[in-house]
Parts: sequence; structure tokens; C-alpha cells
Amino acid sequence: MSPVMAGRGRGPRWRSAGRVSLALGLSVVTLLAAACSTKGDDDKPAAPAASGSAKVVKTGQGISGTELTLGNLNDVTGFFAASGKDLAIAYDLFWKDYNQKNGGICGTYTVKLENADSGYNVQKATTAYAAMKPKVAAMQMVLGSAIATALSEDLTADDLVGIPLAWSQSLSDNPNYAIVGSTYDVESINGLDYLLEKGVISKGVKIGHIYHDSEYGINADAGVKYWAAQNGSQVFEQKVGPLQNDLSSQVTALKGQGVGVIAITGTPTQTAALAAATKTQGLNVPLLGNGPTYTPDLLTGDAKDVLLDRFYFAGGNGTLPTAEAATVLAAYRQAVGKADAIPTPALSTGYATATVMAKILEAACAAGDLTPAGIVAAKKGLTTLDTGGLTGKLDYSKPGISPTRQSFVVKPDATADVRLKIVAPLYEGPNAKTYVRAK
Amino acid sequence: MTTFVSLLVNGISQGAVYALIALGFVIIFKASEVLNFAHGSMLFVGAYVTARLVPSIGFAAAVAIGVAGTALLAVVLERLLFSRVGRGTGLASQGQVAALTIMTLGLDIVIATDLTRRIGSRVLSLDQPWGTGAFSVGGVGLSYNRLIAMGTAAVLILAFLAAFRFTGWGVALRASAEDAEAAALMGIRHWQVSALAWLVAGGLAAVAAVFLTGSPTPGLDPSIRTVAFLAFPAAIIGGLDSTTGALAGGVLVGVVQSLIAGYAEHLQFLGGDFGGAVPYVLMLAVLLARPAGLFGTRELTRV
Repeated sequence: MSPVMAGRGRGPRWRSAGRVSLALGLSVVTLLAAACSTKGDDDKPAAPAASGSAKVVKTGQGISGTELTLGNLNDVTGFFAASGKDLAIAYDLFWKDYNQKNGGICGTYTVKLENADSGYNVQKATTAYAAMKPKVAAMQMVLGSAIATALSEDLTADDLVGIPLAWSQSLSDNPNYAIVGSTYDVESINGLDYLLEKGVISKGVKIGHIYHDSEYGINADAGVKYWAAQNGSQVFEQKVGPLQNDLSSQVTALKGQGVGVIAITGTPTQTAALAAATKTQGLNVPLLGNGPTYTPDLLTGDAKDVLLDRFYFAGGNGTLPTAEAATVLAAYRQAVGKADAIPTPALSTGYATATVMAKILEAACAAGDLTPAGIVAAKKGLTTLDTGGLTGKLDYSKPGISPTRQSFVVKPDATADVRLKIVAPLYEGPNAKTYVRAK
Repeated sequence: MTTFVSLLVNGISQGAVYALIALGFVIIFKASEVLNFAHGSMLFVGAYVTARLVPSIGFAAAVAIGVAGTALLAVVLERLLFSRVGRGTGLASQGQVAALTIMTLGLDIVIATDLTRRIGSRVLSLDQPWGTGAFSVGGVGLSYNRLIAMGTAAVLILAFLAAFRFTGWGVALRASAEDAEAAALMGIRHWQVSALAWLVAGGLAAVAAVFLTGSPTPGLDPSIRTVAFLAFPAAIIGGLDSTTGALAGGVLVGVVQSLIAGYAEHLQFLGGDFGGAVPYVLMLAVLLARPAGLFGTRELTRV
């Protein structure tokens, strides 16, 4: 969203993640990869992997000698620059560690990254993609709904696997795309399920939903409407543009309608604007965000008290607090050169993304085919991809539906290292379980 | 009824800030005939300078420097644009005015791009001493920030209107706006009038920025610049050469926008987020009925 994302299909969301314990994922990946690697065979690049058989791994585009190249279509100058920089750090840290510990993919192919900056501009992204595609085995990241949607047909034509950093359900229609986490609609449902389960809201509650009139917002709205239909609730919708940072009128209207909870699918700034407007209007109801509605920076602003008190967030990626979290955080702080830097949730999203990419590549290696087509086939065959808690268990065999129904429910926390705490990891509410996408 | 009054009050308070911005826009137009599309960036600069200084020198001093700095920047821009025009007199031909207007658009993009890069994904707080508090009368809530904004806007606008009428600069500005060449022949230094107009407009923009970044808006982020794009139609609606018009246009845009957003559920046939388009629809409607705007001077041409 170029900065400002005019009309943009809201894109990337920096999944909420808790303490950056990405290293948990790392260690799991490491173990799995080790099981699939050929130790001591460094001098026989094409002789591989899987289950000790001597079969030769087929290689193709994106692999040269013992180097495997992955493409990143990032945004380091546009609206998501701050998140984009953290993503880049996450990928660098992850693959450096992975290459070192496992000798790369298949125990043989050192992973190298080909990075391009889209500036969150579809045109620039299309050009950059055309330039990088002959060099890569797969696209580790295509950042933003609008860009991912624009490149969807290209990825199919080029037979490349891509990971969209966008969680719109429509992207799951393309079997070449591997969405990392739950889609926006599932997040909304899980968030409401959680609030109901904890007694924060009750059945039949009137729901206000403030959302962008884009794929991002509309997809989340489908989830809110589904939940409302199942629970005898009524939804009052307020569509807003991405640059609208005064939500007083919307909140005034919702107050008049008597809503008991407000869901928001917008930008982080709009989350803060919503918090401030509810305070001004004396509407003390719980607030629920999904997608990229929360960043730690919000806790330095005026909306802090309201957010700490009654804001909940449902997102698709998350990480669990473990002993290794400190190691990753330290590596991050060293990378940015600031001892007290607070990463955006994009850091953990990056780890989850790289972890999924590694698992898809190792599956292709195990099947003996690391060509782009082989990687696509391997991706489609994964039904229970486990990232060790970085995100819900992923099933990539069924295009058109969210690869997982599990989300992370988190709350802002002023004292935590990454300014949030997970209140329900890998949460799958009863309505999320039964959710069927509306035709 | 409470909802309606709330929306009305909110609209008026928002409109008061639009009026401050539109007033600056109008002053610049009157003095130099240029449509200053860099006005959004002036808001942005004012808010940014204030936000960066607040932690070290406190709110009052930061605002003072923010306002002074933005006013100064506006004059520098004016000099930059006009120094090569009309052999130093600042009197631009029609073609030059068009070129200068486009140049302000370029300046806007350059300034905004740089500040956006500096801010990144942060939302900067200006730490207004009145904070995020609000008061409520009979269920109608308004933040202190907006209340103070209305008061300040009223005082500044009245002060400006008085200056416009009673000071030498005001008379010179009006004379220049009426007939720049004749005014120049009468000894009015056009460049001085113009520079002072830009100075005032820059200062007003920075003041507006202080309130635009206060509750219930969460703080400063790059979207502040887009608010100026709402003040443009406000200025046109009022009549581009009318200071009273800027005030009326600002309030009108604020109120209509608030009511449309508040009653969006009854206006679904307009496609949801219609609030953003409303100022422009309103502008078209007004211009169809009154081509010079509500308070603008009708151009009389002898045939």
C-alpha cells in the first residue's frame, strides 16, 4: 500500500506473534531437515537426500551447482517498509542458521536469496518479478494482497510456488500459493469465538465492523457475518478508506446502534483511532482486530490505555515463548544495531514464512524433484505441515479454503519484549471449526 | 437525536480545522494566484517538526518552533518559486501561474516522500497537554482537543479577517488580488505581499496540524497530508478568493462528511465508504449552481 495504500487490497499483516521464539520453529526445522540430509556427501551435490536412498534429486531452474535461489518480493521503501526490513532480517537470520546447521536444503543446496523491492507498487512488483523469475526455484515471499493477486496467474504459468504475505481467502484458490496461517475470515471468527468463550461478549451481541472496502476487509467481513449468523447477532458495517484516521463519526453511529463489540480490519493507525474515538464517545466495548491492525508502536501513542484495557487481536502466525526466543531477539537487535529495538510482528512472520518454505523444499527433496514443478507438486501434497507452533498446522492439499483454522489470539502488553502476549495460542473456536466459505 | 447532534458537533469541530487549512490556501491564492498543492506537505512539516521537538523542549516551545519553521519554509518555497518570475516583481503571467501550480505539486511529492521515509510505520505523538480527555453533555461527546481546535480556529480566523480589513498588509493584499499591476503601480510591493501571505498560510497550516494529530486521531502519520485534499474542495466551495468562503466551506465539508459517515448504513446504495468522495460531490454540486463558489467573486466580463 504504497504508503498509503490507496485502494490497495490490504496486504500484509504482521502477524501477531508473541515473543519471538522463532527459534523453537528453527529447532524443529533443524531436526526434520537433519533427518532428510545426506551427511558427508558435500562433494556429491546431486546425490541426495531422502530416506537414505541413492536416488538422484532432479534439479532445474533456480539451482546452480550447490546453490538454490529463492525470490523475495519485499517492500523496503513503501508503506510496509518497517515490516519489510524486519522480514528481510528474519530471512537472513533463518537461512544463515539453516545453511549452517543443515548444509542447506537436502543437506546440499545452500539457500541464497534474490531480493527485490516493490515499494508496494503493483507495476514495480510485476517488473521485478519478471526479472527475477528465471533465477529462482520458488518465490519465498510476494508481499501484499494486490501484488499477490496481480502475480497469481504468472506464478501458475511459470509453475512456481509462492508464499503470499497476504491472507485473503481468494489467494488460496491458486494451488501454487502457500498461505502461511489462517485467512482473514477465519481470524475474525476465531477472535469472536474467543471473546464469547471468555464471556467478554455474549450471544446475540450487536457487532460493529469497521473495515476497508478491499479484498482484505471484505474477506474479514465474510467471517464476521458468518459468526453473527451462527450466534443470532446483527452486524453493523462501516466501510472506511485506508487513510481515514478520524473514526469519530463511525463510532458515533455504532454507538447509536447499540453495538457491544467492534471489530476492525484496517491499518494499525486506524486501530488507535478507533480506540480514541470509543473513549471520546464513552463507548467502552471490547475491540477486536485482525490482519495488520496491530504494531508495538501503538503502545507509545495516546491510545495505549484503551488498547491495553480492551483490545484483542486474532492473527494467523504466532510464536511461543521459549528459551530460544532470547537468542533470536538478540540476533535481531544485533542486526539492527540497537540494543533495545522492538521488532515488529513481521520478524516472527518472516520466520514462519521461511520455515514453511524450508519444509516445502525438503518435501520436494524427499520426493527427489527440486525443479520448480517438483516443488509445486510437493507443496500440493502437504496435508499436515507443522511449523512447531509458529502457525497452525497447514493443509495445502485443498485449494480454496484456509490452510488452517487455527489462529493466535493476543493482547497488547506494555512489558513484554515485543509488546504483546498470546492469550490463546493455536486457537480454533467452535464456529471456525464449522465455517464454510460462502459462495 | 443524540447521534445526530454528536455527528453535527463532530463535523463542526472537524470543519473548523479544515477552515484553517482552507484559509491558508485562499490567502496564497489571493496573493499569488497560485493553487498551492504543497499545502498538505506544510501541514506535514509543521506536525513533524513539533513531534520531533516535543520530547526535548516541551509542547509549547515545540509548537512555537513548528509554526515558525513551517511559516519560514512557506516563504522559502514562495521565494524559490517566484524569484525567477516577472523579473523579480513576482507578477506572474497566466502561463507562469500554471507552471508554478504544477511546481507546488512536485514540491509536495518531494517533501512528503522524505517525511514518510523518516516516519516509517510509526505514529508520532505531539503530546498535546490536553491529552486524550473528552467531555460529554447529554450523551454527546467531544474531545478537548477538538474543543480547543474550534476555539483556536475561531480566534485565528477572526484575527485574520480583522487584519485583512484593517492593516496595511490586508489592504495591500486585497489591492493586489483585485488588480496586481495597478497595485504595483500604486507602489505596493507585490513580492512582499505575496511572501507575507505564504508566511501566514504556513503558520496556519502548522497550527491546524497540531489539532489534526490530536484526539480522536491517534497522532502523526503520513496520511495527515491527505487532509489538505479535503480543504481544497472546501476552499473551492466557499469561493477560492473569499476568506469568509474558506470558513463556510470548511465547516460545510466537515459537517456533511460526518453526517454521511454516520448514516452510512442508510446510504449503502452509494457503496459504503462514500464519506471520502463527499467533499468533491459537494464541490461539483455547488459549482454547478454557483460557478464562483458560495462567496467567490463573480467574474464580470465586458463583451
